[in-house]
Parts: sequence; C-alpha cells; structure tokens
Amino acid sequence: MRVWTLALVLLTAPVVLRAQELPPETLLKPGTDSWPTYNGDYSGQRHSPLHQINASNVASLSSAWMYRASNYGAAGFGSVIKSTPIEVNGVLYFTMPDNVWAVDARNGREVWHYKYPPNEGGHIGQRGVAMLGSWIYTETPDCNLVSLNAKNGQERWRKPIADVKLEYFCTMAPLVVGNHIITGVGGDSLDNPGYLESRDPETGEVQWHWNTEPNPGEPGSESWPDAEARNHGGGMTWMTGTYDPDLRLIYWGIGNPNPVHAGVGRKGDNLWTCSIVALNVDTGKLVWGYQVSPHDTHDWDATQTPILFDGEFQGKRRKLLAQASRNGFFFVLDRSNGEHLLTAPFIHTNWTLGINAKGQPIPNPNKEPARDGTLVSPSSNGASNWFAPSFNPSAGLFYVVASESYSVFYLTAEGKAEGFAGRDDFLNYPGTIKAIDYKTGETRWTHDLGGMGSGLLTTAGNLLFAGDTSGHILATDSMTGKTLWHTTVSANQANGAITYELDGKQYVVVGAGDSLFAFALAATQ
Amino acid sequence: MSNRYFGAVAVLLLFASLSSGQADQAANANKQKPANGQQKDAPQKENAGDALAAMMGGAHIDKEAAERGRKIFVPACGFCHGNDAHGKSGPDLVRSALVLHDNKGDVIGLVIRNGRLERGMPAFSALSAEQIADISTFLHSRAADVSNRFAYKIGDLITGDAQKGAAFFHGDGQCGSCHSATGDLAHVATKYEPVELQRRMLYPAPNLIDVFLGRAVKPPAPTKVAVQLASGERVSGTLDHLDEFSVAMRDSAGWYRSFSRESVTVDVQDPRAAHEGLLAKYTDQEMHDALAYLETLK
Repeated sequence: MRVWTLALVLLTAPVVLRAQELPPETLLKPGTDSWPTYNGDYSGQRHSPLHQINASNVASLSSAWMYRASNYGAAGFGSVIKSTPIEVNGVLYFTMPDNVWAVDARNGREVWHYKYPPNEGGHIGQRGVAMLGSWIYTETPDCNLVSLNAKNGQERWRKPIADVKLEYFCTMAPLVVGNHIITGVGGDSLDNPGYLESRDPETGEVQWHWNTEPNPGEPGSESWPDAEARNHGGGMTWMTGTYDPDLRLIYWGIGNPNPVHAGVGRKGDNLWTCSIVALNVDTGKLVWGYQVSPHDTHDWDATQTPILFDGEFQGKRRKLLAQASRNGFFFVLDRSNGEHLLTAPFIHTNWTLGINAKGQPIPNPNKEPARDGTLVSPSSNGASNWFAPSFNPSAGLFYVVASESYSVFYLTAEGKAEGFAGRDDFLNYPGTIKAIDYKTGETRWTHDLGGMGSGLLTTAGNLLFAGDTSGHILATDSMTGKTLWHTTVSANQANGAITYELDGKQYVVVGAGDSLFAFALAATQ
Repeated sequence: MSNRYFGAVAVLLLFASLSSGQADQAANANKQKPANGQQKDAPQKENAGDALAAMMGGAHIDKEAAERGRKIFVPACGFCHGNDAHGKSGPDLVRSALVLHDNKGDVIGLVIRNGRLERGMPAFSALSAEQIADISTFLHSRAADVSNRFAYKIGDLITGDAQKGAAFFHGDGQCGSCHSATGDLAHVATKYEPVELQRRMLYPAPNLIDVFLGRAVKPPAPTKVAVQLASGERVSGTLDHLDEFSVAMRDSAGWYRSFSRESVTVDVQDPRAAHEGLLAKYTDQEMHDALAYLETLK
C-alpha cells in the first residue's frame, strides 16, 4: 500500500506541477478536452471524435457565451478573427494582426491581451498561435516570431524570421513538433524567395532553413532557367503544414512562383513552387516533393492544408495525403514516398491541356495572362484558398470550400516583368462546400454558401460546421450536406470552427468579425 | 436556384486578391448590406492603388522628390542600371535589398559617393546629400510601382475583329436577345474604359475595388423576384437579399418584405444568368471580338 502511494505521488507530482503546461508529447495524441494546434492535431483533418452534439440533437444547439475583442487598434480588413483559436487546459488563445488574447474557454472571460507595436508589415490577417510548455508563439505582420508567457501574455523575446523591408509579411500559425517551432513566410510582391525555418523554442534561434527554390545542382534546380530567376522565384510558405510522427516528416503546401503572372523570364516547371513537399522535421531536408501546378502563372499557390489519413486505395491500405488545391484539382498521394495516386477536378476549369503521366495538370500556354486578357477559371482567388478543409475518416469524405469562379488575367508589365507583372479582374465569387470521395475524386454533395470565406469542421456526431456569407453559422449532416441547424451571428464567420469538451459539455467555437461565439446543447447548460 | 447573387460578395472577395493571394473575407467585420454591391457611406478615395497599398502597409512616396530623383538618376545611372532601374549591365535596383533598406541615402549614399570600383561602378562624389536622397526616393517609388499591383495599368485590350464580334453578338452569344446596339448599348463605348467594358460585358457587376473604396459605381440591373406563399398569394418585386434561409424584396409599392424560405417558393429572374452561362463557353478570341464590336458603339 505504501509503495502504491509513493508510486502515485511520484507519478502525479510532476503532472500536478506542470498541469497547465503543454508538453510536446501531448500533441501526438491530444485529448478531446483540448484543441492544442492550428488544425487541432497533426493530421490536419479538423475532425473531432466528440459526439455529444450530433445530428439527432443539433437542432437544440444554442449560445453558450460570446466574447467581443476590443482595443485591437489595427484598422482595415485585418481586424477580423481569421485565427483558429487553440484551447489548452481551459484557456483559448487566438489572434488578430498585432494582437493575442487568452480567454476562458468555459465562459469567454478575458484572461489577458497582448499588443504588439504598430508596424509596417502587411495586416491582411493572422491565423493563430502555437503553444509549447508554458510559452505561446506567434508571427507578427512585420515578421518577428514572438514568444509570450502563456500565464500572463508577457513577451519573452522576439526574433526576426523575414525581412519586412523586402515586403515579406507573416500571418501563419507556427507548427510545434518536439523541440522545433516551424515558421513560414508570405509576401509575393517583390520576387523574394520563400522558405521554411525551424526555430529553437527556448531561444528562437534557427535550427534549420529550407529554401523553396533548390540550390544550384540540387534536384529541381534545373527547372529554372538561371540563377536570377531562381533567386527571385517566390514560393511562399504561409499556411501551417501537417506532420506524420512515424515518418518524422512535415508536409507543406508551397506558394506560387514569381514574377506572379509573367512566366517568360522563368521558363520551366519552377520547383518547388505550387508543390506539396515532405521535409524531415529534424534536418529540414527535402525527402520528396510533388508539384500540383507546373509553371504557374495564375497565383494559384498550393498552400491549402495537405490532410493526412490512413486508408484504402485501390485495395491497398496506405498512408495517404490529400489536398484540394487552389488550381481546381484534388490530389491524393502516398505520403511515405510522394507517389501520385489520384488527380480529379473539383470545379470546372479551363486552363489545362490534360493530365500528364505523373498526374499533373498540363498548363495551356494560351491561358497564360495576356495583354488583352484571357478568360480563366478559377480566378486568382482560386478554386479553394486558405479556408480550412476537413476530412471525415469514417465517411472517407474530404470537405472543401470551393469556388467555380472566373476572371480575366492581364499581363501589364512594361519592359522587364517583376512583382505581380499583371493582375486579374474578378468576375464572380461563388462558394460552396463540396464533399469529395477520396477514392475517386467524385463530389458526393454540394452545399451553397453564397460565397467563400470560412473553414470547416467535422465531428463524429455526423456533423459538419461551416459559415455562409450571409452571417449564418450552420451545421449540416456530414453525409448528405443537409442543413440541420443554423443561427445568425454579428458578421460572417472568418475562421475555422473548433470543438472541445470541458466538464462534460461539448463546445463549438467560431470567430466572426471581432468576436468569438461559443455554442453548446441547451440541455447541458 | 442559388443564393450566390447576393452573398456578401461586394467587399468579400476583393480581399481575395490582396497580397500573397491570401483570400480574405474583409467584409466580415462590417456586414453591410450587399445588395447591388454598393457601400455608400465608405470614404471617397482618389487612387485605389494608393489606398490599398496603404492598407497593406506600403510606403508613402513623395512624388515630387521621386521625380527630382528620376531626373538625376536617368543621366547619371540609367546607362548601367536602366532608366527604369530594372538593371542592364549593372544590377537591378528595384528589388535590391540594399536599396530597400535605404532611408534618404543612409545606405546607398556610400555606394554612390565611393563607387564600387572592383565591380566597375565609378564614384559619383559630386552628388549632394539632397540629390542622393531624391535618388533614393525615386528607387523606392520604382519598388512601389512594382509591388503595388492595384496601380498597374491594363491597356491594349482591343485586339479582336469587330465584324466577327457583331456576328457573335447576334449569333452564338445570343446577346441580342436582351441587348440592342441602338437601345441600351447605344454609345456604351463612351461610358466605360475598355477594361471596364470587358468586365461588364462578361459579367455586369461593379469592380470590387471601386466598391470597396466607395466610388460611385453603376449598380447592376435589378433582379426581379416572385415569391409564392403557402396561401397561394404571389408577391413580386425587386430582390433585396437571398440566402439559404430567407428572401427579401422591395415590393411594387416600395415596401421591404422578407419571407422564411421554409414556407415559400422563390422564383428569381437574374438578368446576369445568361452572362454566367456564357462564361464557360467563350473562347478568348470570341471575347476579344465581342469587345472590339462593343468598342464601335461610340
């Protein structure tokens, strides 16, 4: 008995001391009482096993609490909660550009608010924080990685991760793996190279640095005509990737090449822009890459979440990766080696000459931007964008907010093409949820949202949560797309919903405008 | 039938286009009524490109200083760096990290005054601090010209064959079934710049950048709607809003009326539906020809 007690004390003592912290091993199998990373877990599925709220009772879902942010300063379109909150030990952490908040996940009470000083970086959006131990990590518009004390929001340090003077700007929620903080960068207006870095969680110093464009002599370097083009080739890394702990690979979607709309000075495939890449998380070395848009000229970065799942494909169980890419095509790969398995359009597109032997769409040169314009589907906004997709493993369905859009692409550069070197004139902006069967790429159902703009969440309660563009939050049957519940909030949902269970109560939390809205079943309130 | 027509599109996807292509739903914060895509109370701005650049964190450029700088730069530096600073035998200075870090000559001043003799750049020791500061402003203005795509000028659009365009208008395009060159489209080429005319021809909706900046825009043609109530009563009017859950209109007497879609049948006559149907059918040549034809309607 004494031995047992002693053992119990020994076992629980460190746990008690660290109860509020987030140890790295927790991220390998997060509990349903938490949502500890941008995508909830490393797979990127945004699918929760929670089912207290389910298709049979969601009609009685009602408001649990609301939190309205204030004193956030920044003007313009950045002042919207585009971040996916993380939730750790009953506290939500979320952002807007230049701002981080900690809020009680049970009732929406503000715990602390951190403000970063005004700065010249692009303030288009901020997608969230990462947490490790007792520290919060976030990227600022002017590209510092900031570490905050999770207890009180006090700044520990800030370290530059990109040069704002070159028009980089940073929006991404970092990814924590073990003792690595993975950071990505954005900004494609001045032909800068993209890269990923791993930073030390304690010091913020660089552990490894991986350039989107291969170095001379490396595989892929031959896909650029010369050093000048390669050194100014773009390929930003602005969306949080996913991670397979068994393979120790991180998966990242890479942005479009530069100059954006003019391909003449960068003939070739332009690797690894518009690609999905797998890097060893400890070394930052490329293990494999797959380019979804060779030689892109339409701004269709492939930064959409590469979702990981294990499943059957043509009779064989595999470790899979799927992406509904901005270029309008859905891809399934074997994530252990990058082997291509499936390519299927999920909207009507008009820019390809077909699919090549590797499963890549072949760009039609006549649909490149031209001085008098080319009519192209999708627009540069894309068939999909950063709005979080979701995967329901029991249904085998991949859900994406898709846009059957058209745009006229113009080339405008006089003389040497630099920067965007052109632009497109948007025509229409439709948006629907599409449920794609990963085995065939076929769309099982479509649900109109009026436009595109928010991320998706699915749960084991056979539910899918989404926001439309008329200020509604809605839940549909995840198998059929039929609406089972909706409510009106003060603005359109701008982030992806999350869910967690505390004290036996399941919450669903969404960000809309400058507010968080939490929902729970009336019976549990 | 779909609710896409009025789905908060107005400002929504302008931001789609902003910056690194990170589509963003900027309109979320101020859920303004999106019907007709107008935002009447937004401030008037002169230059869409400048305003958007400012919101994106772009630098403010002193245009007079930049022009003074250009006049010094072209004869002194243009032979090697190009009159537009894009580089010739000397390096490109538009996307140069050195120049982008410069403030009024504090970085490039040394290089200009001392030259880089080992690389073949002579010293320009006679230039004053003010002149170097002006050159710096000129170079920053060149970087801003490149990085601010909303100020890019679209031109040279009229490449099609007007006769073939007329044939398309009356033939495959079936434009003539709703429009007339001597009626609603008379003198249309005098009302719009070619890029605006092209967009409106393809899909008649206001330019979202104009809408966002609160410029006067011609609203799209009103959409007619008829609602059949459970009682059998039929109410007609001009569509005000439509989404998955409700429909709203101005009835023939001008009253606002809304209905839950659970209990009514909705019939929308969207004048843009034919345009939308054509989007998937146009060849680029047909688009160019049709525009060339509309350009003859002076």
